Amino acid sequence: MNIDVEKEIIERVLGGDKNAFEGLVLENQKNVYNLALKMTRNEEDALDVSQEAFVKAYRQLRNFRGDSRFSVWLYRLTYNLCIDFLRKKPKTNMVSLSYDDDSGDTAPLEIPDLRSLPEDSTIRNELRKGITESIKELPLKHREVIVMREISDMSYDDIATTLKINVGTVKSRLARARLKLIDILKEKGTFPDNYRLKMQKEVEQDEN
Amino acid sequence: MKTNCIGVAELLCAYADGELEKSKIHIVEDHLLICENCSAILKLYREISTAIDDTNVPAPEILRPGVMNRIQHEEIYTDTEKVKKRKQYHFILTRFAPVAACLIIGLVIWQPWRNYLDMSSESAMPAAPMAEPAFDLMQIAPDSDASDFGVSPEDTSIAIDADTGGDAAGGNSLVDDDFESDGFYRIFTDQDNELLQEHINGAYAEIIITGELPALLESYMPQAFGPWFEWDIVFEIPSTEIPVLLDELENREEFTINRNEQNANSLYVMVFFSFGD
Repeated sequence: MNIDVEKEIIERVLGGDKNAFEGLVLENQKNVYNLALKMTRNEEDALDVSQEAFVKAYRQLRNFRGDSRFSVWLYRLTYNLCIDFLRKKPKTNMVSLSYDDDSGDTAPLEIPDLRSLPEDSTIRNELRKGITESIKELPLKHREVIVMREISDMSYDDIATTLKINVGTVKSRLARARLKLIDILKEKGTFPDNYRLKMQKEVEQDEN
Repeated sequence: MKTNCIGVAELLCAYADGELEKSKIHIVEDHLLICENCSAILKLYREISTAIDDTNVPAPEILRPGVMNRIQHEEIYTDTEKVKKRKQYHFILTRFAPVAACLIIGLVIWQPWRNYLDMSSESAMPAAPMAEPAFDLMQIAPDSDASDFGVSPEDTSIAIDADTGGDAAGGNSLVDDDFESDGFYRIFTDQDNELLQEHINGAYAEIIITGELPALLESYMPQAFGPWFEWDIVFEIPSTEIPVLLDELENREEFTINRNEQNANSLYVMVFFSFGD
Protein backbone atom coordinates (compact mmCIF):
# COMPACT_ATOMS: atom_id res chain seq x y z
CA MET A 1 0.00 0.00 0.00
CA ASN A 2 1.58 3.23 -0.93
CA ILE A 3 1.69 6.05 1.53
CA ASP A 4 -0.86 8.18 -0.29
CA VAL A 5 -3.45 5.44 -0.25
CA GLU A 6 -2.74 4.99 3.42
CA LYS A 7 -3.25 8.67 4.11
CA GLU A 8 -6.46 8.69 2.16
CA ILE A 9 -7.85 5.80 4.13
CA ILE A 10 -6.93 7.48 7.39
CA GLU A 11 -8.60 10.69 6.31
CA ARG A 12 -11.75 8.83 5.48
CA VAL A 13 -11.79 6.99 8.77
CA LEU A 14 -11.25 10.22 10.66
CA GLY A 15 -14.10 11.65 8.68
CA GLY A 16 -16.40 9.02 10.07
CA ASP A 17 -16.13 6.17 7.60
CA LYS A 18 -15.49 3.30 9.98
CA ASN A 19 -15.54 0.67 7.30
CA ALA A 20 -12.63 2.24 5.53
CA PHE A 21 -10.46 1.10 8.41
CA GLU A 22 -10.70 -2.40 7.03
CA GLY A 23 -8.17 -1.49 4.37
CA LEU A 24 -5.59 -0.83 7.04
CA VAL A 25 -6.44 -4.05 8.82
CA LEU A 26 -6.06 -6.15 5.70
CA GLU A 27 -2.79 -4.50 4.82
CA ASN A 28 -1.15 -4.96 8.21
CA GLN A 29 -2.78 -7.91 9.85
CA LYS A 30 -0.24 -10.48 8.78
CA ASN A 31 2.71 -8.58 10.15
CA VAL A 32 0.90 -7.55 13.30
CA TYR A 33 -0.17 -11.09 13.98
CA ASN A 34 3.25 -12.58 13.31
CA LEU A 35 4.92 -9.98 15.44
CA ALA A 36 2.54 -10.79 18.27
CA LEU A 37 2.91 -14.51 17.72
CA LYS A 38 6.67 -14.48 17.95
CA MET A 39 6.63 -12.21 20.95
CA THR A 40 3.91 -13.91 22.97
CA ARG A 41 4.70 -17.40 21.63
CA ASN A 42 1.06 -18.34 21.86
CA GLU A 43 -1.63 -18.24 19.19
CA GLU A 44 -4.51 -17.21 21.40
CA ASP A 45 -2.59 -14.40 22.99
CA ALA A 46 -1.33 -13.29 19.63
CA LEU A 47 -4.86 -13.08 18.30
CA ASP A 48 -6.03 -11.09 21.31
CA VAL A 49 -3.11 -8.73 21.14
CA SER A 50 -3.48 -8.25 17.41
CA GLN A 51 -7.11 -7.42 17.69
CA GLU A 52 -6.48 -5.05 20.54
CA ALA A 53 -3.69 -3.35 18.64
CA PHE A 54 -5.98 -2.53 15.76
CA VAL A 55 -8.76 -1.33 18.01
CA LYS A 56 -6.37 0.84 19.91
CA ALA A 57 -4.94 2.20 16.70
CA TYR A 58 -8.45 3.08 15.65
CA ARG A 59 -9.17 4.87 18.90
CA GLN A 60 -5.93 6.78 18.74
CA LEU A 61 -6.03 7.51 15.06
CA ARG A 62 -5.96 11.22 15.62
CA ASN A 63 -2.62 10.81 17.35
CA PHE A 64 -1.07 9.49 14.23
CA ARG A 65 0.58 12.13 12.14
CA GLY A 66 1.67 10.95 8.72
CA ASP A 67 5.36 11.62 9.15
CA SER A 68 6.08 7.98 9.51
CA ARG A 69 4.32 4.95 8.20
CA PHE A 70 1.12 3.91 9.87
CA SER A 71 2.47 0.40 10.02
CA VAL A 72 5.45 1.44 12.15
CA TRP A 73 3.16 3.23 14.57
CA LEU A 74 0.94 0.19 14.63
CA TYR A 75 3.84 -2.15 15.30
CA ARG A 76 4.85 -0.03 18.24
CA LEU A 77 1.38 -0.33 19.66
CA THR A 78 1.50 -4.05 19.06
CA TYR A 79 4.88 -4.38 20.68
CA ASN A 80 3.73 -2.54 23.80
CA LEU A 81 0.69 -4.71 24.11
CA CYS A 82 2.86 -7.81 23.77
CA ILE A 83 5.07 -6.69 26.59
CA ASP A 84 2.00 -6.11 28.68
CA PHE A 85 0.76 -9.59 27.98
CA LEU A 86 4.07 -11.10 28.90
CA ARG A 87 4.07 -9.20 32.16
CA LYS A 88 0.71 -10.55 33.12
CA LYS A 89 1.54 -14.16 32.56
CA PRO A 90 2.48 -16.25 35.58
CA LYS A 91 6.17 -15.90 36.25
CA THR A 92 6.96 -19.54 35.74
CA ASN A 93 6.13 -19.29 32.09
CA MET A 94 7.84 -16.10 31.55
CA VAL A 95 11.28 -15.26 30.42
CA SER A 96 12.49 -12.52 32.69
CA LEU A 97 11.70 -9.09 31.39
CA SER A 98 14.42 -7.60 33.44
CA TYR A 99 16.73 -5.38 31.55
CA ASP A 100 18.94 -5.09 34.56
CA ASP A 101 21.30 -7.66 33.27
CA ASP A 102 23.22 -5.78 30.68
CA SER A 103 26.18 -8.04 30.98
CA GLY A 104 24.94 -9.72 27.83
CA ASP A 105 25.49 -6.50 25.99
CA THR A 106 29.07 -6.14 27.08
CA ALA A 107 30.22 -9.73 27.13
CA PRO A 108 32.74 -10.55 24.43
CA LEU A 109 31.17 -11.58 21.16
CA GLU A 110 31.61 -15.20 20.26
CA ILE A 111 31.90 -15.85 16.60
CA PRO A 112 30.68 -19.28 15.52
CA ASP A 113 32.75 -21.35 13.17
CA LEU A 114 30.59 -21.88 10.13
CA ARG A 115 33.17 -22.69 7.56
CA SER A 116 31.71 -26.05 6.82
CA LEU A 117 28.22 -24.77 6.14
CA PRO A 118 26.39 -27.21 3.92
CA GLU A 119 24.46 -26.50 0.74
CA ASP A 120 21.88 -23.73 0.64
CA SER A 121 18.83 -25.84 0.09
CA THR A 122 19.69 -28.20 2.88
CA ILE A 123 20.28 -25.35 5.25
CA ARG A 124 17.09 -23.66 4.31
CA ASN A 125 14.95 -26.67 5.07
CA GLU A 126 16.65 -27.34 8.34
CA LEU A 127 16.34 -23.72 9.30
CA ARG A 128 12.66 -23.58 8.58
CA LYS A 129 12.07 -26.50 10.85
CA GLY A 130 14.06 -25.14 13.72
CA ILE A 131 13.78 -21.41 13.51
CA THR A 132 10.43 -20.80 15.14
CA GLU A 133 11.37 -22.90 18.11
CA SER A 134 14.76 -21.31 18.33
CA ILE A 135 13.34 -17.81 18.33
CA LYS A 136 11.04 -18.82 21.16
CA GLU A 137 14.09 -19.71 23.17
CA LEU A 138 15.75 -16.37 22.79
CA PRO A 139 15.67 -14.09 25.81
CA LEU A 140 13.20 -11.28 25.37
CA LYS A 141 15.80 -8.64 24.80
CA HIS A 142 17.10 -10.50 21.79
CA ARG A 143 13.79 -11.81 20.61
CA GLU A 144 12.25 -8.41 20.32
CA VAL A 145 14.94 -6.94 18.10
CA ILE A 146 14.99 -9.95 15.82
CA VAL A 147 11.25 -10.06 15.54
CA MET A 148 10.97 -6.38 14.82
CA ARG A 149 13.62 -6.48 12.20
CA GLU A 150 12.69 -9.70 10.48
CA ILE A 151 8.94 -9.60 10.72
CA SER A 152 8.00 -5.98 10.72
CA ASP A 153 10.93 -4.94 8.55
CA MET A 154 11.39 -1.97 10.78
CA SER A 155 14.40 0.17 10.17
CA TYR A 156 17.00 0.44 12.89
CA ASP A 157 15.71 3.93 13.62
CA ASP A 158 12.18 2.66 14.04
CA ILE A 159 13.33 -0.12 16.31
CA ALA A 160 15.34 2.33 18.36
CA THR A 161 12.31 4.54 18.80
CA THR A 162 10.05 1.69 19.72
CA LEU A 163 12.37 0.19 22.28
CA LYS A 164 13.56 3.52 23.60
CA ILE A 165 17.17 2.69 22.96
CA ASN A 166 19.65 4.31 20.66
CA VAL A 167 20.54 2.99 17.25
CA GLY A 168 23.94 1.80 18.39
CA THR A 169 22.27 -0.39 20.96
CA VAL A 170 19.96 -1.76 18.29
CA LYS A 171 22.94 -2.71 16.16
CA SER A 172 24.81 -4.46 18.90
CA ARG A 173 21.74 -6.17 20.28
CA LEU A 174 20.72 -7.41 16.87
CA ALA A 175 24.21 -8.72 16.19
CA ARG A 176 24.20 -10.56 19.48
CA ALA A 177 20.68 -11.78 18.95
CA ARG A 178 21.57 -13.30 15.62
CA LEU A 179 24.69 -14.94 16.98
CA LYS A 180 22.68 -16.27 19.88
CA LEU A 181 20.14 -17.62 17.46
CA ILE A 182 22.87 -19.39 15.52
CA ASP A 183 24.04 -20.87 18.83
CA ILE A 184 20.60 -22.20 19.59
CA LEU A 185 20.24 -23.59 16.10
CA LYS A 186 23.57 -25.33 16.45
CA GLU A 187 22.50 -26.84 19.74
CA LYS A 188 19.44 -28.19 18.04
CA GLY A 189 21.68 -29.81 15.50
CA THR A 190 20.62 -27.65 12.61
CA PHE A 191 24.14 -27.32 11.35
CA PRO A 192 27.86 -27.07 11.35
CA ASP A 193 29.63 -28.98 14.06
CA ASN A 194 26.60 -31.08 14.76
CA TYR A 195 25.49 -31.25 11.21
CA ARG A 196 27.28 -34.39 10.22
CA LEU A 197 26.48 -35.90 13.57
CA LYS A 198 22.80 -35.44 13.06
CA MET A 199 22.87 -36.81 9.55
CA GLN A 200 24.74 -39.79 10.87
CA LYS A 201 22.13 -40.41 13.56
CA GLU A 202 19.36 -40.30 11.01
CA VAL A 203 21.19 -42.81 8.89
CA GLU A 204 21.68 -45.07 11.87
CA GLN A 205 18.02 -44.94 12.73
CA ASP A 206 17.11 -45.81 9.20
CA GLU A 207 19.28 -48.82 9.36
CA ASN A 208 17.61 -50.09 12.50
CA MET B 1 42.71 -1.31 7.61
CA LYS B 2 42.85 -4.78 9.09
CA THR B 3 39.85 -5.73 11.03
CA ASN B 4 39.17 -8.96 12.80
CA CYS B 5 35.96 -10.94 12.90
CA ILE B 6 34.87 -9.50 16.20
CA GLY B 7 35.25 -5.96 14.98
CA VAL B 8 33.29 -6.81 11.87
CA ALA B 9 30.53 -8.80 13.58
CA GLU B 10 28.32 -5.86 14.40
CA LEU B 11 28.98 -4.19 11.09
CA LEU B 12 28.14 -7.43 9.35
CA CYS B 13 24.73 -7.41 10.92
CA ALA B 14 23.97 -3.90 9.75
CA TYR B 15 25.45 -4.72 6.35
CA ALA B 16 23.09 -7.66 5.96
CA ASP B 17 20.18 -5.35 6.72
CA GLY B 18 21.30 -2.59 4.42
CA GLU B 19 21.71 -0.31 7.40
CA LEU B 20 25.45 0.11 7.41
CA GLU B 21 26.85 3.60 6.95
CA LYS B 22 28.28 3.96 3.47
CA SER B 23 31.65 4.91 4.87
CA LYS B 24 32.01 1.56 6.56
CA ILE B 25 30.85 -0.71 3.79
CA HIS B 26 34.35 -1.21 2.47
CA ILE B 27 35.52 -2.45 5.85
CA VAL B 28 33.02 -5.26 5.71
CA GLU B 29 33.52 -6.08 2.06
CA ASP B 30 37.29 -6.12 2.38
CA HIS B 31 37.05 -8.44 5.32
CA LEU B 32 34.62 -10.74 3.56
CA LEU B 33 37.08 -11.18 0.73
CA ILE B 34 39.59 -12.75 3.05
CA CYS B 35 37.38 -14.37 5.67
CA GLU B 36 35.48 -17.49 4.78
CA ASN B 37 33.88 -17.70 8.18
CA CYS B 38 32.34 -14.26 8.12
CA SER B 39 31.15 -14.88 4.60
CA ALA B 40 29.41 -17.97 5.89
CA ILE B 41 27.92 -15.99 8.73
CA LEU B 42 26.60 -13.41 6.34
CA LYS B 43 25.09 -16.12 4.20
CA LEU B 44 23.49 -17.56 7.29
CA TYR B 45 22.02 -14.22 8.32
CA ARG B 46 20.32 -14.05 4.97
CA GLU B 47 19.10 -17.61 5.24
CA ILE B 48 17.71 -16.86 8.66
CA SER B 49 15.81 -13.89 7.30
CA THR B 50 14.35 -16.02 4.55
CA ALA B 51 13.46 -18.80 6.96
CA ILE B 52 11.71 -16.43 9.32
CA ASP B 53 9.80 -15.00 6.41
CA ASP B 54 8.82 -18.48 5.36
CA THR B 55 7.56 -19.27 8.82
CA ASN B 56 5.27 -16.28 8.92
CA VAL B 57 1.69 -17.46 8.93
CA PRO B 58 -1.36 -15.73 7.59
CA ALA B 59 -3.39 -13.86 10.16
CA PRO B 60 -6.32 -15.88 11.45
CA GLU B 61 -9.52 -15.42 9.45
CA ILE B 62 -11.32 -14.20 12.50
CA LEU B 63 -9.03 -11.23 13.12
CA ARG B 64 -10.40 -8.83 10.59
CA PRO B 65 -14.10 -9.30 11.30
CA GLY B 66 -13.31 -9.26 15.00
CA VAL B 67 -11.65 -5.89 14.69
CA MET B 68 -14.34 -4.42 12.44
CA ASN B 69 -17.06 -5.55 14.82
CA ARG B 70 -15.37 -3.96 17.75
CA ILE B 71 -14.74 -0.63 16.13
CA GLN B 72 -18.44 -0.28 15.42
CA HIS B 73 -18.73 0.31 19.16
CA GLU B 74 -15.63 2.41 19.49
CA GLU B 75 -15.08 6.08 19.05
CA ILE B 76 -12.00 7.84 17.90
CA TYR B 77 -10.78 10.34 20.45
CA THR B 78 -12.19 13.54 19.16
CA ASP B 79 -11.19 17.13 19.42
CA THR B 80 -13.83 17.83 21.99
CA GLU B 81 -12.26 15.36 24.32
CA LYS B 82 -8.97 17.07 23.89
CA VAL B 83 -10.56 20.36 24.80
CA LYS B 84 -12.10 18.84 27.86
CA LYS B 85 -8.75 17.58 28.96
CA ARG B 86 -7.17 20.87 28.18
CA LYS B 87 -9.59 22.59 30.47
CA GLN B 88 -8.83 20.15 33.20
CA TYR B 89 -5.17 20.82 32.86
CA HIS B 90 -5.83 24.50 32.65
CA PHE B 91 -7.52 24.26 35.99
CA ILE B 92 -4.45 22.76 37.59
CA LEU B 93 -2.03 25.24 36.14
CA THR B 94 -4.05 28.25 37.03
CA ARG B 95 -4.12 27.14 40.61
CA PHE B 96 -0.38 27.36 40.66
CA ALA B 97 -0.05 30.46 38.60
CA PRO B 98 -0.38 33.19 41.19
CA VAL B 99 2.65 32.06 43.09
CA ALA B 100 5.88 33.35 41.62
CA ALA B 101 7.81 30.32 42.72
CA CYS B 102 5.46 28.19 40.73
CA LEU B 103 6.27 30.07 37.60
CA ILE B 104 9.69 28.61 37.96
CA ILE B 105 8.27 25.16 38.45
CA GLY B 106 6.14 25.80 35.43
CA LEU B 107 9.21 26.64 33.41
CA VAL B 108 10.95 23.54 34.57
CA ILE B 109 7.97 21.50 33.62
CA TRP B 110 7.53 23.34 30.38
CA GLN B 111 10.96 23.66 29.01
CA PRO B 112 11.94 20.01 28.77
CA TRP B 113 8.61 19.23 27.35
CA ARG B 114 8.71 21.98 24.83
CA ASN B 115 12.17 20.92 23.80
CA TYR B 116 10.88 17.47 23.25
CA LEU B 117 8.13 18.76 21.03
CA ASP B 118 10.66 20.87 19.17
CA MET B 119 12.89 17.91 18.83
CA SER B 120 10.05 15.94 17.35
CA SER B 121 9.42 18.56 14.77
CA GLU B 122 13.08 18.74 13.87
CA SER B 123 12.75 15.06 13.19
CA ALA B 124 15.53 14.21 15.53
CA MET B 125 13.53 11.04 15.94
CA PRO B 126 12.53 10.63 12.36
CA ALA B 127 10.69 7.42 12.83
CA ALA B 128 8.45 8.65 15.58
CA PRO B 129 4.95 9.54 14.64
CA MET B 130 4.79 13.26 14.93
CA ALA B 131 1.76 13.12 17.12
CA GLU B 132 1.04 16.22 19.06
CA PRO B 133 -0.23 15.55 22.55
CA ALA B 134 -3.95 15.09 22.51
CA PHE B 135 -3.78 17.70 25.13
CA ASP B 136 -1.86 20.57 23.60
CA LEU B 137 0.49 22.24 26.01
CA MET B 138 1.03 25.27 23.87
CA GLN B 139 -2.57 26.21 24.06
CA ILE B 140 -2.82 26.34 27.80
CA ALA B 141 -1.89 29.97 27.78
CA PRO B 142 -2.79 30.83 24.25
CA ASP B 143 -1.51 34.36 24.03
CA SER B 144 1.50 34.02 26.16
CA ASP B 145 4.69 32.12 26.23
CA ALA B 146 5.66 29.51 28.70
CA SER B 147 6.67 31.96 31.35
CA ASP B 148 3.33 33.56 31.71
CA PHE B 149 0.85 31.71 33.78
CA GLY B 150 -1.27 34.56 34.84
CA VAL B 151 -4.63 33.93 36.34
CA SER B 152 -7.70 35.61 35.07
CA PRO B 153 -11.17 35.45 36.53
CA GLU B 154 -12.23 33.69 33.37
CA ASP B 155 -9.73 30.95 34.01
CA THR B 156 -10.95 30.48 37.50
CA SER B 157 -14.51 30.06 36.42
CA ILE B 158 -13.52 27.32 34.02
CA ALA B 159 -11.65 25.78 36.87
CA ILE B 160 -14.68 25.56 39.05
CA ASP B 161 -16.62 23.64 36.49
CA ALA B 162 -13.85 21.33 35.43
CA ASP B 163 -14.11 17.79 36.55
CA THR B 164 -10.71 16.82 37.69
CA GLY B 165 -11.30 14.40 40.48
CA GLY B 166 -10.80 10.73 40.22
CA ASP B 167 -13.32 8.48 41.79
CA ALA B 168 -12.55 6.32 44.75
CA ALA B 169 -11.95 3.28 42.63
CA GLY B 170 -8.99 4.92 41.02
CA GLY B 171 -10.87 5.79 37.88
CA ASN B 172 -10.29 9.18 36.47
CA SER B 173 -12.16 11.49 34.20
CA LEU B 174 -9.13 11.82 31.99
CA VAL B 175 -9.44 8.25 31.01
CA ASP B 176 -12.07 6.44 29.03
CA ASP B 177 -14.27 4.28 31.14
CA ASP B 178 -13.47 1.22 29.20
CA PHE B 179 -9.82 1.27 30.14
CA GLU B 180 -8.76 -0.90 33.00
CA SER B 181 -7.22 1.19 35.68
CA ASP B 182 -4.50 -1.25 36.41
CA GLY B 183 -2.16 -0.80 33.61
CA PHE B 184 1.30 -1.28 32.42
CA TYR B 185 3.47 1.66 33.12
CA ARG B 186 6.63 2.78 31.56
CA ILE B 187 8.82 5.40 32.93
CA PHE B 188 11.46 6.42 30.49
CA THR B 189 15.09 7.09 31.17
CA ASP B 190 17.36 9.07 29.03
CA GLN B 191 20.07 6.66 30.03
CA ASP B 192 19.66 4.70 26.85
CA ASN B 193 18.29 7.31 24.60
CA GLU B 194 20.92 9.82 23.72
CA LEU B 195 18.55 11.86 21.67
CA LEU B 196 16.35 12.49 24.62
CA GLN B 197 19.35 13.19 26.74
CA GLU B 198 20.40 15.98 24.48
CA HIS B 199 17.17 17.80 24.62
CA ILE B 200 15.54 17.05 27.88
CA ASN B 201 16.39 17.97 31.39
CA GLY B 202 13.92 15.55 32.70
CA ALA B 203 14.62 11.95 33.46
CA TYR B 204 12.90 9.03 31.94
CA ALA B 205 13.33 5.85 33.87
CA GLU B 206 12.35 2.70 32.10
CA ILE B 207 10.36 0.62 34.48
CA ILE B 208 7.78 -1.92 33.54
CA ILE B 209 5.13 -2.63 36.09
CA THR B 210 1.63 -3.94 36.20
CA GLY B 211 -0.91 -3.82 38.91
CA GLU B 212 -2.40 -0.92 40.73
CA LEU B 213 -1.21 2.54 40.13
CA PRO B 214 1.30 3.51 42.81
CA ALA B 215 -0.19 5.96 45.25
CA LEU B 216 2.29 8.56 44.18
CA LEU B 217 1.13 8.51 40.59
CA GLU B 218 -2.47 8.52 41.75
CA SER B 219 -1.76 11.78 43.46
CA TYR B 220 -0.41 13.23 40.23
CA MET B 221 -3.35 12.07 38.21
CA PRO B 222 -5.02 15.47 38.00
CA GLN B 223 -2.01 16.86 36.19
CA ALA B 224 -1.64 13.98 33.86
CA PHE B 225 -2.50 14.18 30.21
CA GLY B 226 -2.84 12.02 27.19
CA PRO B 227 -3.05 10.15 24.96
CA TRP B 228 0.38 10.92 23.60
CA PHE B 229 2.05 8.87 20.92
CA GLU B 230 1.16 5.33 21.77
CA TRP B 231 0.73 5.94 25.45
CA ASP B 232 -2.56 6.52 27.10
CA ILE B 233 -1.50 8.85 29.81
CA VAL B 234 1.62 10.71 30.82
CA PHE B 235 2.59 11.83 34.28
CA GLU B 236 5.31 14.22 35.10
CA ILE B 237 6.67 14.21 38.60
CA PRO B 238 9.50 16.20 40.15
CA SER B 239 12.74 14.36 40.56
CA THR B 240 12.50 14.71 44.31
CA GLU B 241 9.69 12.20 44.17
CA ILE B 242 11.73 9.59 42.33
CA PRO B 243 13.01 7.83 45.46
CA VAL B 244 9.47 7.73 46.80
CA LEU B 245 8.20 6.21 43.60
CA LEU B 246 10.95 3.67 43.39
CA ASP B 247 10.34 2.69 46.99
CA GLU B 248 6.71 2.14 46.27
CA LEU B 249 7.55 -0.02 43.32
CA GLU B 250 10.21 -2.09 45.00
CA ASN B 251 7.73 -3.59 47.42
CA ARG B 252 5.78 -5.15 44.66
CA GLU B 253 6.64 -8.66 43.64
CA GLU B 254 5.68 -8.31 40.07
CA PHE B 255 8.02 -5.48 39.28
CA THR B 256 11.29 -5.49 37.58
CA ILE B 257 13.13 -2.26 37.98
CA ASN B 258 16.03 -0.98 36.08
CA ARG B 259 17.52 1.35 38.59
CA ASN B 260 19.37 3.84 36.57
CA GLU B 261 20.23 6.71 38.78
CA GLN B 262 20.20 10.04 37.15
CA ASN B 263 20.05 13.65 38.08
CA ALA B 264 17.15 15.36 36.51
CA ASN B 265 14.57 17.97 37.19
CA SER B 266 11.60 15.83 36.51
CA LEU B 267 10.58 12.33 35.69
CA TYR B 268 8.13 11.45 32.99
CA VAL B 269 5.94 8.47 33.53
CA MET B 270 4.24 7.08 30.45
CA VAL B 271 1.28 4.87 31.12
CA PHE B 272 0.03 2.27 28.80
CA PHE B 273 -3.28 0.80 29.75
CA SER B 274 -3.84 -2.86 29.36
CA PHE B 275 -7.12 -4.22 28.26
CA GLY B 276 -7.50 -6.42 31.27
CA ASP B 277 -7.77 -10.13 31.64
